[in-house]
Amino acid sequence: MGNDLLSISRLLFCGADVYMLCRFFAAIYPYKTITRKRIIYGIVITFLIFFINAIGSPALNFTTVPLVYYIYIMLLFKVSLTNGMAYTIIYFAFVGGREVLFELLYRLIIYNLPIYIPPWFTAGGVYFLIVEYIIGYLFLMYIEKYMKRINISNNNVFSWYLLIVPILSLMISSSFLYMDFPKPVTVQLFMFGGAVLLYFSNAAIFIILEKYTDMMNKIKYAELYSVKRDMETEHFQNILKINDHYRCFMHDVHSYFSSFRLLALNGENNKIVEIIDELKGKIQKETNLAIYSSNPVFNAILSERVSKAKEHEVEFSLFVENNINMDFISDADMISMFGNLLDNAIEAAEKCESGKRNVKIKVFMGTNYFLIFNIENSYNVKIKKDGDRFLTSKADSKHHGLGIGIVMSLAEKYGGSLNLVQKEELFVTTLTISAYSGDQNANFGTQRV
Amino acid sequence: MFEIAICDDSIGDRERLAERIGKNMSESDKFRIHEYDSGISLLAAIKNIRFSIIFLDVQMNEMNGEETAVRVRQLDNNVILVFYTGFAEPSPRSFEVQPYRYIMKNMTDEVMDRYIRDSLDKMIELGQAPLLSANVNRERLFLRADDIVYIEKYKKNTRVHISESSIRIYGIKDLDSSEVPDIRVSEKLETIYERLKKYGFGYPHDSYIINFKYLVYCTSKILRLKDVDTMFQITRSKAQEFHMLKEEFMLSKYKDGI
Repeated sequence: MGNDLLSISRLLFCGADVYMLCRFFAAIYPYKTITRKRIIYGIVITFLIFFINAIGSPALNFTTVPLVYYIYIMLLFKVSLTNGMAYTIIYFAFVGGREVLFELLYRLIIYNLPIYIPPWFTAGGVYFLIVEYIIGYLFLMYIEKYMKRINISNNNVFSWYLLIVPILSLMISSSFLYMDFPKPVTVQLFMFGGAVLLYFSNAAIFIILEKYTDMMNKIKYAELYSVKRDMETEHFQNILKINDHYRCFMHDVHSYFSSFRLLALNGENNKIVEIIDELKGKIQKETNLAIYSSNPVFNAILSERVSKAKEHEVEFSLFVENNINMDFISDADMISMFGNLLDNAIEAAEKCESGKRNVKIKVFMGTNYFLIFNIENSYNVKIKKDGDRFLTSKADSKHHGLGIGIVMSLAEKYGGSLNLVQKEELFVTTLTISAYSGDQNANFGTQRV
Repeated sequence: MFEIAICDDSIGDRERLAERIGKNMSESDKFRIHEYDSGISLLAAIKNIRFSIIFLDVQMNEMNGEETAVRVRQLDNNVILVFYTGFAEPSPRSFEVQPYRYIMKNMTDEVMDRYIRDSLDKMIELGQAPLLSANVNRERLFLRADDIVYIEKYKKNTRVHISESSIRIYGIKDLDSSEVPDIRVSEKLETIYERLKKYGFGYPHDSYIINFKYLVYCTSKILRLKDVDTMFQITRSKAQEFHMLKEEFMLSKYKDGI
């Protein structure tokens, strides 16, 4: 039963250890080196650990291996000294926990079943070690997705109390190894069960943390969302006011004309001129209103943006197909969707140098069942993207970038989708919504996302 | 050969439109223009001729354009409808009747020509789409792209679902039975998709290809088709291409200007 610590298979295990360590950190922190350098470091560290192991002194092993790991991490990742240390300890707790777990499992088997499992450091033990590494690797893959979502690297302050569980589990489980294996099977099972739970307690921290962060994010998003919706409701009230105002004015025009008629009949021309002069300012103000669509709210949304575009010297072209029916969209949703998209387009265009500011809008039925709202605008500030999500480029990013999210969820509500494409000089936004209202969609239309 | 119908009770307007259509059709495309002075005579003719496009006046005596359009749609769900009208009309009550274009009689020749050209291009595009040869009850059936609502993977090959008006036109359903016989194509779905994707088809999922024309509901993850009860999933790996093609299809209506 010779010592097998200097074989190729051992070297491969060291390699696997280093790879798993690298993967563990890669889930949390960004790399700071290129791939080629990383591979070279990896190989050097693998050989280093291989030789340390080959000496076969547990004390030496226990002191130097974590240090080597730590140096490796500091070389590879953008991580602070303390965080690097903390996570190396956590990783070590994983590895230690796993080793204890398997050691106890094998002892349990040897004691109670007629199977002989050779010690891990002999040639025969290699195959059992493979099982252990596969389990360890699967475990790592399992917690990896949680770690990625916590976004630890964004928050570089490490909460040291998080280390209690890993250190505790490492201490308890390693002390298991120095205890005599108990005789009664129940106690053996008890001990093994304890080791399993200790091992998984390390994963539990990450899972709980992930759930917590997720919840906090959701709360934050919901708060911002409701603020934004409130703002839009207010805006909606304003538009209704403008609309009312316009109707009153049109009504007034009739009464003005009847009084003009009366005054003219009585020959009081001076009086007529007086009234007209007085009205002039008012008329000029009111006749800025134009009719783009037969839907009053949609019309108001467009009118407002047309004058906003004019103010910022943005060339605004607008095409609304004849006779399209938009009555199936609720007024508030219309403002949310079209208002947000138009505002974004105008804001992006106005940042361009003058002469290059333009926004082109087309509203039409793309097929018999889909309403298309298509915007092309010039832009010069690249929009940041987080996966599929567009982030705002505005300075106070905390309160913006929600608009697109709201439009997306409303698009889904109306059985459609929102697509944003960044081309070389144009930003193209296409909102597709289903105008079809067959019975089968009745409960779909109200679905909230 | 494209069969083109013009339905208008004013002979002058019919002549003007026929002339403009003639000018905008390329010489290589063969076509025949049929003129009708009322909705009733148009509807009578539809039973014998399968039109590719119908230009329909909105204001007519007896039966007006919208009423005619509703009846046309009941007979043929695929024909392209273009409204040809003197003044703006309220939007149609039924989506089936949504015309491809509104052409205003008071438009300048330039805009009118562009709209006519767009409509004719659409007609030619649909006419050029490859025919799919399918088998129904051991007989051959040639399907046009427009007939197909969706194609699904079925046992070892594929099964085609066609629109209700196509079922009527091809007469493949027995009057007394409610079951539509299986329409099968002995090709792989991938192969069919490669052929059809230029003609307004999407491939949202490994097991089906859908015709964008019949799409009535489509969020980022699920879709529904006209007169089909099933809800279709959009696979994540196919979503990007699917949504891109969908948009391309819908935006193509005004791609050459407005």
